[in-house]
Amino acid sequence: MRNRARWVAVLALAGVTVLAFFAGRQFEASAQAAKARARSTSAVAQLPAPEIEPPAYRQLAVTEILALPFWKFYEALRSAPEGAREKWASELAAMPDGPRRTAAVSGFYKLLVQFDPTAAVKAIRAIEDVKMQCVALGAAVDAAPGSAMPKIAELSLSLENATETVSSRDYLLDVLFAWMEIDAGAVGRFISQHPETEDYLHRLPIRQVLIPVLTRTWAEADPAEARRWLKGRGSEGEDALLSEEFIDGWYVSDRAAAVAYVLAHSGESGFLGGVGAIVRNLYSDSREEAAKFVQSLPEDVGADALREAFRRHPLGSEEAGDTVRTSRAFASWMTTLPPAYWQGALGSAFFSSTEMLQWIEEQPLAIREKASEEFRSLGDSTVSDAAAVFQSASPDLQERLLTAMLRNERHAPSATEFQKSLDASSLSPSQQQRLLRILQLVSAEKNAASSAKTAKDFADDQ
Amino acid sequence: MARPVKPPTPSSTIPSKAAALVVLALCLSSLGFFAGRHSVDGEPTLQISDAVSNSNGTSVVPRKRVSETSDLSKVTIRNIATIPFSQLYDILRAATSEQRMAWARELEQMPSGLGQRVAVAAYYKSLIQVDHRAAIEGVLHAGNLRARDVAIDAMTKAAPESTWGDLAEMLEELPFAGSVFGGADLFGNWSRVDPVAVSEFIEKYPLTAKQRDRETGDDWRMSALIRSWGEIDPAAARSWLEDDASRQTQGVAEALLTSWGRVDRAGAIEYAVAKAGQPQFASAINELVYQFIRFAGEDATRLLAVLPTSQAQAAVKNVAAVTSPLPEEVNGINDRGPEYQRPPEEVAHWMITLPLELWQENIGPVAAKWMDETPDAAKAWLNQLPPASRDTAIASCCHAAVLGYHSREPAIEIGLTISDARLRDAAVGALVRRLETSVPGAISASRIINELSVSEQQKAYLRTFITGKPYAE
Repeated sequence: MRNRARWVAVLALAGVTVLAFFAGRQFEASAQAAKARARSTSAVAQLPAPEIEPPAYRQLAVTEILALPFWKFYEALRSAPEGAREKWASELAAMPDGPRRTAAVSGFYKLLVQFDPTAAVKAIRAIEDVKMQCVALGAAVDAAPGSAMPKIAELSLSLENATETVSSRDYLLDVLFAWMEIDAGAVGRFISQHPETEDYLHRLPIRQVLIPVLTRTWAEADPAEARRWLKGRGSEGEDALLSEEFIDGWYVSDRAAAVAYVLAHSGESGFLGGVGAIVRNLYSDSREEAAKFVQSLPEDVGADALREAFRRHPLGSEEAGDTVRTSRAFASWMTTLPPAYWQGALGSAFFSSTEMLQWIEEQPLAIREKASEEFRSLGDSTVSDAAAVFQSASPDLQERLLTAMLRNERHAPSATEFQKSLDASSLSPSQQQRLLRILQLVSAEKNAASSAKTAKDFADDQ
Repeated sequence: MARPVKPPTPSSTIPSKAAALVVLALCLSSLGFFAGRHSVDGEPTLQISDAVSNSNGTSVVPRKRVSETSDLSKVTIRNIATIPFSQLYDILRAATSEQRMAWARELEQMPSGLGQRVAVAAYYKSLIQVDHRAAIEGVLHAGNLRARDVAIDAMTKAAPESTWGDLAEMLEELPFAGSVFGGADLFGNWSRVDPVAVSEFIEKYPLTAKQRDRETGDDWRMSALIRSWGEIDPAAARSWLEDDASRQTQGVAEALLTSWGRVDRAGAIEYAVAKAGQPQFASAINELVYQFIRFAGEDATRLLAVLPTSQAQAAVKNVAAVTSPLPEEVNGINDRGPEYQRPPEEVAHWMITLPLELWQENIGPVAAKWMDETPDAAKAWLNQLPPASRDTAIASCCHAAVLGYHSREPAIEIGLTISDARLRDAAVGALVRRLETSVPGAISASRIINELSVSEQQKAYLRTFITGKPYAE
């Protein structure tokens, strides 16, 4: 009897506790909802009056999408049942070809892919008019959220044979580029799981940039995973591990490890891109650190690294709001290093002879003399660059710059070609004579060097 | 002696037990109530402050998702892209404009890199759809140019069709617009839905000479416009171009003729003939001919028949160059898409139907490429041609080999079969002499001849082009 009373009491207590638990849940949920309503009401109150009541999907024709405020169509589409969405898709297919249909198709699929990617994929796959299918696919590719990327990538791959007959857009490439920013590992796995993607990527040069960009992005997100995946790709992947792309990404995710690794391997062949990547990134973050890094390298590697740093990543310009990664800033920084590091590399900082010329003229004497030996023709014609030298530099500096420019020409012009260019130029006769004299001196110097090399090679062969 | 324990009387124990029970019940109900409150997740009223963190790399995903993630260091700002659009839409729509601007600034302050790029892209991709003016304001006031460019790219992709005009105006107002790369898509997309508005925009904001293509003077926006307008309404597009001669640059002319040709081949042919002789239309006409070959070969022939001979020859030469590019030009062709280049056998079959003066110098590279790919089929096709055409076509192959279009050995071998002796001497002789000058020393040329699959007599004949001594049968 006593036991029974005890059990009743225990059960009653348990019941009270459970009831209290749910009462607490209910209370908290109501409180949060009330807070949300208050916030929402105050915000919605600022919206235009018509937005308060979204229209029912039955009131809207999809063909009028362009004329509708976005929110109206969005609310209607969101609340519409699947059948209504299918009806809209068939309405779109029935529209005559033209800008209105393009706008409606693009708007519809851009939206649908964002809240029901499965329905969007199904509907796009069912479109029979390939031109319209391309518009729909393009919209889906552009607007797809991260969660929809796998489906859209599969769709793009499966429709490639059809879409490439009417559109020059590379839908799959576009999806993969957008997707890798969100989840590079997923893109790597997609490529591994769809071997046909490898063929697709190798078919056009423009697609061959995907793997290097994926390497960089993945190394930025998760270098260990990226390394594992690349190692699984054989020699191509092993090479990628030494590439500037991998080092670039790794630098962002773990700067110290990337710098230490590159320093330890800086002398190895095929690694120059990685060394250049560290110089470029350190330069952007801290010029002092960059200088320390370069001086930790062997002198010959240091010069190559400086030349490599911005070879494939053009320097910015002040016009584009960049004051650090400009030719002038990079060159000025280079010359804070001992000349052995930047001789032979200084010219790689500039894209215009005129800009290089102006920069050299502004330097203190000691730097100016050394830097003038690096001057080179970067424009369309050596003669027109020579004209710029004649206009702006002092006679003494002119001689140095012109000699350096002709000496640094990779493909020296023949005397006949050079004379033709001179005849067509605005240079005065005395300037032309002076230039010809320097060309003869430089040619003689190059010939002598070439003969000496041939004699040495011959002696070595013997 | 132990005191006996007095059993509790019912009157004293029952109230104390009941009181204890009540106290216990109160305690348990309080505990249950608070446990119940804490069991409610904050997610249903997701706020962007939960979704978008500050620059410390803290969570950007809903609290629930964070709590489910064992390693918080892996939950970064980039996960904002995993928040469904419907949730972001509600949050952004309910937010005040001040709050949206504050979020935009907060995103700009994040450390640069992947996390920032993804978060900025996700934010602006949603905001452009909810309130495009707010998104534009955010971009116009951005201080971080790299983040701004990511935002512009995302906006250009997700923008509702009715907002293109405002986005284009935004590009004009941007400080340091030189770093923006997202404009091409914008003008391409806008032109597909409202070309007239785009044309008015271009008139309102002309490009400076420096902003145009250095070589062709093209305004890239016009090319994007005409590429769509020429398909939608070729007459209107033509009329707009002709209103101002400065609009008729090489790239724009090509955009007009090729887009027109996709929807009205007869009209495009008539216009091409009218413009033949104008330098800026030369490459456009070449491109139109190649486009016809891809989709309607008979119209290519029809167009060539009505073009001036020099323009027709240039167009056929271009067909040969696209079909069989020199090694250094392959990338330029490949970049035009996998379906662009037609197979050499298809082009050869079409080309041979043209008048002799159009194909005699151009069939060589095409047949040479065919011979490289499927030699037996190519030779069989050449052999079935009428004798005069056959000789001319093979001589053209030899000439193509001289220019480096394909390997020279097969060309020499087939060149030996030219029936016209003078033509054979000229064609094969040029090829053998080229061997001699292009490889280091005559010994190598002789070696190549020795290794050819031809008779000793034919080898002796070929050697005469190296030694200069006349051939004696």
